[in-house]
Amino acid sequence: MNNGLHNLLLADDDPDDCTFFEDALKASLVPATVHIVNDGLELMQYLKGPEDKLPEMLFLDLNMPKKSGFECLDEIKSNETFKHLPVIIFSTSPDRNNAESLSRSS
Amino acid sequence: MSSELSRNDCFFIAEGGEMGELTRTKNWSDTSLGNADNWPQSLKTSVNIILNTNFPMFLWWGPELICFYNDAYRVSLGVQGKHPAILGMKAEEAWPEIWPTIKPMIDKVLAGDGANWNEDSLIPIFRNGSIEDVYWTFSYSPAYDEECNVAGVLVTCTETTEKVGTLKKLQDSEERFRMMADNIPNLAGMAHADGAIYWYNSKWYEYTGTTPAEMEGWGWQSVHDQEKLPGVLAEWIDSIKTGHPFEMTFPLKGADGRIGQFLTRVLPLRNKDGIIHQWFGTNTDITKQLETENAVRTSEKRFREMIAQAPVAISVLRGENFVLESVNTKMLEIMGKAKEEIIDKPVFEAMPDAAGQGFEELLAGVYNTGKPFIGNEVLVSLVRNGKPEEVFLNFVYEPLYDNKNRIDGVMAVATEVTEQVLAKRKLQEGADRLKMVLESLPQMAWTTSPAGEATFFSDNWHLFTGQSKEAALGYGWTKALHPDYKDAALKAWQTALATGTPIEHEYKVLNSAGEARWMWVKGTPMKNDKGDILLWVGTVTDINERKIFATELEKQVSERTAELESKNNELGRTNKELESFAYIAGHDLQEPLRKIRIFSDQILEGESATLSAGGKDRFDRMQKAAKRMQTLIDDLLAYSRTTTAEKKFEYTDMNILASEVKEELREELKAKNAVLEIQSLCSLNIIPFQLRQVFYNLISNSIKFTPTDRNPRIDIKGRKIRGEDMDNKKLSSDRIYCHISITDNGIGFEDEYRHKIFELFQRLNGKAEYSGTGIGLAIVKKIIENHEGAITATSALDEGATFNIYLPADEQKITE
Repeated sequence: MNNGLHNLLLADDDPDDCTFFEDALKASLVPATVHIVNDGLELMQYLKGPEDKLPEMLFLDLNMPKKSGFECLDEIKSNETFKHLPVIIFSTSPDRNNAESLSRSS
Repeated sequence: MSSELSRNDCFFIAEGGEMGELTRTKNWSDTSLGNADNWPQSLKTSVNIILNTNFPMFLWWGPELICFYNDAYRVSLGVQGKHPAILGMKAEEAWPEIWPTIKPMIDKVLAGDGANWNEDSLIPIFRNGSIEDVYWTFSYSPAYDEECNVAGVLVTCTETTEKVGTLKKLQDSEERFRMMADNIPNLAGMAHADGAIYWYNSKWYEYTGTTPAEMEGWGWQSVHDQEKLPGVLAEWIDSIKTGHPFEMTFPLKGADGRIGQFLTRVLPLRNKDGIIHQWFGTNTDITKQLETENAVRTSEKRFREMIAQAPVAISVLRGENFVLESVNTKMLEIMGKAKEEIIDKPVFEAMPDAAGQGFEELLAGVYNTGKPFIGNEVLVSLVRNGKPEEVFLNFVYEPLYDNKNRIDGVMAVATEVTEQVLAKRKLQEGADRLKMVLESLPQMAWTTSPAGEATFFSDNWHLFTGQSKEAALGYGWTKALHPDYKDAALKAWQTALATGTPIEHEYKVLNSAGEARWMWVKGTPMKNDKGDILLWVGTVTDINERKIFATELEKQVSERTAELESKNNELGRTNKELESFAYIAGHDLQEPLRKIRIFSDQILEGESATLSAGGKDRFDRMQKAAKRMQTLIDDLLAYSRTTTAEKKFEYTDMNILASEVKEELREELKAKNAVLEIQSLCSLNIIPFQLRQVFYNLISNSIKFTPTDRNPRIDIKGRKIRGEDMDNKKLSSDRIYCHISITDNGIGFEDEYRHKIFELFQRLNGKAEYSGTGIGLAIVKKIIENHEGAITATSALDEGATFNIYLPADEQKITE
């Protein structure tokens, strides 16, 4: 919590999708700020940065360059520090299989 | 006075025979007796008596014991002896040779002791020129004078030499007899004429453990079996009475308690007049003999029984005439005669039908030489049960020996093998005929034994391979095979032999020039009624041309197949590429569309105040276009997925599947008051999500294409049909299909478009009337084809449409 605002993290490579997210967030009237990272590597770097920067929630896109959402998720869940970070996956993939495998792994 | 005594003196020496004469005429005055006239009366009387007795008598009278004797006595004096000298002689002078013996006896009588008696006494006498040993039975008795004093000795005697001799001989012989009797192994005994035993030999006493005292007379009864005794007694008494020899076998108790069977014979001994004076008997222990006899009898009985029941024919022929002593049932069967007809007759008399076929000589040979004869499959002409028959026999003649080891018979053992021999012959004929047929074939032909060894090759084989007849037999034919094929050929042959199944095999055979040609071998086992393999017969056919052609064909086919496979693989790869392309493309195409829609939504919402009506309308149309594009891309993706998706077939109840789709379309059905009936659909092996798509598309179509003037009514029905019943090239005639019909009451379509509607992007209506991408039905068709089914549509304008789906109901194919 900083300034009473929830600290959110969004990992998505598509700028338009990011805009949509911000718009939705604003429209939702939830008091929160969101930090955006654009690829997997950047995500991990950010998470591994200073502790007080750790978000309350991570919104994770699966299709990201450099490191995919899957890989990041694996790393997060196996890391003691981030293990308990709530992760919300959102993806444009219509593939049910993905959803199933994700729910199994988390 | 004359010294001659007058005959008229009746008191004196009347008659008296020769001695009377001699006595009368003798001059007695020279003797101490003096003149006869002066003899005392007692003397005269005594002399008178003896002279007139026919019994030998002798008289010594007076102190000098002057001798007088009669004719009867004279005989005993023999010749060249004392007669007639001793008449009137003094006793001592007359009898010097025996004086020591007789004087005491005479003196005794003279002394008044009375008469004596001697039986069978040996008193030698000089006569016939020598001293003879003579036995006498005699009595010296006193002769009294007038004063009653003993004046002389009267001798009454008779020679008993013979008797004694006889007696002695008898005694001796009896003695010898008894010695022998003691030494024979039998028990023996002797009885008087009345049957009373007076003697047993030592063997008797040894065996019975009795004493002579116990046995004397009729004591032997104690060692008899008391039950049998009355019978024995009766016989013995009868013999005694009748004088017939006694013979009987009975048990006697031994000292050790054993009971032995004794054959007893008692013979009468007769004197020269034929009168029985004794009985002589023996008891022979025949216990062992009886046992042996019994054993022999039993074993003979058993032997006979064995012969009678033997499974082979046996007969026993005795003597050089070969009399049929015994014949068992089996032999009678072979002979075809009844037992009574032939038993105890010489064999060739009993069976004239067997004569003259050489058996007489065979039998004689065995009988004379003792060498057995064995005959195999010998042909005999017999008359059996009235009919003449040719019979084949295996038989053996064995010599039989009696207990002195001489041949006294022949035993014949036989089995009839007529059937086997005839069968063998038949087989042989069959085999010969077979050979003839095989030789006539254009192919090469062969036969083997049941074990697999070649027994015959037709000439064509020998001509082709150049192998000789001998070389090819057994497994020699393998040498004519091409080496590469030998092992496989033998293996196939062994398998066929082991299982008894016909063999078909191809291999290369080398001809006489060494060139290899392809041959097709076919072989079948030939079996008898019982299923036993008798032989293998087969052919070898030249298929070289055919094979080469076939090989070429095979080569070409496999080339084509390889081509096809590689093309398929390429196709697969292409498909896969397409799949990922379609997927990604679809996905990536969706992304900008999504953005367009969201942004335009946002603008419409956010800027609605600043937008003009025209601007809003344009945005609206832009949105709709974007939506259409999304739908199109979705449908395209769906279409591409129908081919590329995993074909996961599941056995599904179509009723349930259709109902689920109905549920999915609840809102749409409700919105239009549509009625959807599902009836009697089958269970099928299908890809569920694809069939769901089918129902979804068709039902959606039906709902969509129903005009507002009516409530949509959709009927989905199912039934089973046979592929051959439908005139549809896509349906396989030997499969069963489920025919699902989906009928609606919508706008329908012209019949001429019934094929077109299934084409991609085909629309029969403008976008304004009915929405739609024109892909729906193409997807349905693709899915149905994925399932090896078919789909058709029938309709007429404004009269609704019926879509007919045929899906394989593949639990079973039609097999009739």
